[in-house]
Amino acid sequence: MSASAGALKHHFEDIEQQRGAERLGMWMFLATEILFFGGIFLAYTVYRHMYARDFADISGRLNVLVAGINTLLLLTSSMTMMFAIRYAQLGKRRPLMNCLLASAVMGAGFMGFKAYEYAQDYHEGLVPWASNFGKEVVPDPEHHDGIEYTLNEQWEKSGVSANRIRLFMTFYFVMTAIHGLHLIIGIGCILVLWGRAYLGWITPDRYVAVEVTSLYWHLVDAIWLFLMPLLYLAGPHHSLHF
Amino acid sequence: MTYYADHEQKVIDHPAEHTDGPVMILAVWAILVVGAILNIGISFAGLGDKAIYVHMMISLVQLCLVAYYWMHLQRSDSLTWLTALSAFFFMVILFALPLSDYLTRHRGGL
Repeated sequence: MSASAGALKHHFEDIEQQRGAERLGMWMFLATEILFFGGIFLAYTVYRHMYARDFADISGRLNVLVAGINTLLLLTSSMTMMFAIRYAQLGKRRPLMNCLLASAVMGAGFMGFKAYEYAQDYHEGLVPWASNFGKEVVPDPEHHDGIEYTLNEQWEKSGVSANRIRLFMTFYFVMTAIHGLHLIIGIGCILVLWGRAYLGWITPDRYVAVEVTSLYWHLVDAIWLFLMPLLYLAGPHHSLHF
Repeated sequence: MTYYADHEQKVIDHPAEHTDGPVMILAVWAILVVGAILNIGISFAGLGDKAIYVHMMISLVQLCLVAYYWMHLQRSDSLTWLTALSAFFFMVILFALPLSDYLTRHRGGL
């Protein structure tokens, strides 16, 4: 295949130079994203160091089963993105479209589980800015004396501070919401790629569009690989349940 | 092997020449999933304050696998490596300077 046909823009000498520029552009953007998330991770680290016991207590109440399912969804969606690059390079349009669609659907599934989790957090009185914060009666994982207590009462019994719990939950919502926003943007990009593949615009010499999108998707995936243990596994868990 | 080489003019394009093999893709996926399961399993093991170090080690290994194989650092040119390592370098500075303050405050002031 001639490199000068189709995909090559006039200001590049050859197609590999163009692909290198596209990859480098995305990597530079990703470097800024890493530093953007780095600031939030740093703030979390400082407060976790200061209030380790309070953070561990509330983290143990988060839904680790849903977090685990979401991790599996994201990892698998990244895998299908890898296959999408392969099929784009091989010029196999139908498998390419299927892989892109699978990635987008799994990303949407992640957001669906996240919405379920947010709703559950609200009903359990864990949303820091809601009027029912700490006031709901929920099972106590540590005390089994048969009496039902509100979260505020449980925290008081355990000697943890409601304000520090509020701080952790603020981190939890801000970090997962920003990650979710990135995921929604990623789903949009993948759907655009799917549309271009459907129209036959992603030919083997244009495969780098899929590769560059996958770089972004993998970064969002990699950020989740740190968010998950930091937020959901900061404290001990006793059971897996929805 | 580097084949996204530093620029050298090519006339002929072979996009299908360097595809990722399904075995590599699936092997990396399997290791990442095992890492995620291990991470969750450790939170039930009662390691207490030490668990965070194990969690972060597992996550770092997962990150390296994703970056090296799936994000194609394995075959990237020197500029891409430089960009990726710069991000890492500035992250280290971002963490090292503030933490050198916060993590040592219990030792008292100057």
